[in-house]
Amino acid sequence: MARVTDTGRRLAWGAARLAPIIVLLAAWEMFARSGAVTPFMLPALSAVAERIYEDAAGGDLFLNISVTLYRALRGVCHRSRRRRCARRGHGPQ
Amino acid sequence: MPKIAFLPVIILWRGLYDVSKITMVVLDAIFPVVTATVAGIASVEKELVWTARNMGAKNRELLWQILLPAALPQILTGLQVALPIALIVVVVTEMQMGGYGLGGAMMQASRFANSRGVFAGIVEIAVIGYALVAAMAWLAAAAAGVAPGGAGDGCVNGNATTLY
Repeated sequence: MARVTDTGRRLAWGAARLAPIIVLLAAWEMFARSGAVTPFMLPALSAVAERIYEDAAGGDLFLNISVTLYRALRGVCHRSRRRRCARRGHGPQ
Repeated sequence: MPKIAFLPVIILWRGLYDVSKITMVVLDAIFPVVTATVAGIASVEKELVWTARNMGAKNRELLWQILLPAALPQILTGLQVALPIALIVVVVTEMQMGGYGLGGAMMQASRFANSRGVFAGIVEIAVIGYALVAAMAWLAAAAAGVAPGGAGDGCVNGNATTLY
């Protein structure tokens, strides 16, 4: 019984944390479709999601993400001439 | 100062490709980590150092076994500050120099007046940034939990307290 309410509370908490994001995305979609702006100025979220899906299907998305992540993490974990990562506790230099 | 001001010089010195972008990230991301490490080591409890010295610790042992573990939570906090900065700098340099990468793809879409592509880039970068920060926070929490000097993070069972 207590476990059920715990799970319910956790679900409610997760939903409460997600709510602002969902509201923002819904507002984006509705505003884009309302006709106040042209699709060129603000494309609808569904069109953008479609475009992301096309990128992912074509493979470009993962190439770009991996290149960007490689550069960012390589910069943070940089250590000249020794392959040691600062995150492993070896100090920042 | 904003290190991004060095971008043109770095392009002249190191070219347009990965090396200059990574150099910019290093320039921007290293200072939060260095300052956090200095502050963390400066705030290690003196009793810990005295005890280690009393037990005959050499300088090297003092550094690796006392100072760095005790300062680890603050070093990880510095890394948590540095990681979003690194992502920002990577995207900015990619937008400036083009080529592969999320920023480059966004600029290319913008030049082709492809607004769907631009907004897709915004969403992708937002998701990647959230995932990176969440992963780093999880890593920092995990490392602070196992660190011998994790007492500074609210852990009462670390070696730091059992020394007394």
